[in-house]
Amino acid sequence: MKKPIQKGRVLNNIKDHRKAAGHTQVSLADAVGATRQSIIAIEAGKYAPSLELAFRIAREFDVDFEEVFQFEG
Amino acid sequence: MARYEKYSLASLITTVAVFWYFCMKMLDGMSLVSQPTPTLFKIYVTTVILFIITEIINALLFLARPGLVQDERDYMIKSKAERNGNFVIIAAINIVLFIVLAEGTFSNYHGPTHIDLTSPESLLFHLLGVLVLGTIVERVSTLIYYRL
Repeated sequence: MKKPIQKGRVLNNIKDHRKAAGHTQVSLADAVGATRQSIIAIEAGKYAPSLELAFRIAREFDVDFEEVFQFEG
Repeated sequence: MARYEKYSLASLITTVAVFWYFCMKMLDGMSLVSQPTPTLFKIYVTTVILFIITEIINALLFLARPGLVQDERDYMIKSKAERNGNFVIIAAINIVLFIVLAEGTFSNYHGPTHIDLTSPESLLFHLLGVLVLGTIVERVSTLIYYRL
């Protein structure tokens, strides 16, 4: 019998990487093709971005994907 | 507040205002006023034109901006809000149909309200009401999803 999968949570530390990279929320949004509101929502953990946007963000910081995004669950 | 949020809020307010105008023309208290069909046609056309004009003004005020971008979150919110609006329209149409058919089928049926779709004013009021309800739910959903 299959075990029920519990809902997980995508965590991120975009804010730290963003500050380290000298980005504002607006400049990061422009760089990855998102809106400032989406960056705010992602940083606050209110919105889990698509894989494509998540990879774009990690690429913008020039770090591995899992340094920016972690999965808890 | 994002531009799309502002647009949704403005659209919600104007939709309610135009529907209020429509209700003032159609209702006397809580009951529908019997009116000749040409008058109903005039009310219908005026209401639709008001909806179109207010939506154009809202779009010009809030969405006609050079460089205004929409990203995946905006599309997701729009899609979920439209789904909610469509769901409410489907549910409301089914409720109206159920009441009309139950009234015709069961002589002792006493529903929460009486709907007579054979009169033009009742048909106009209920169909336009369902569409407006769907629009209101869509706009409110958009505002809620942006805040969640």
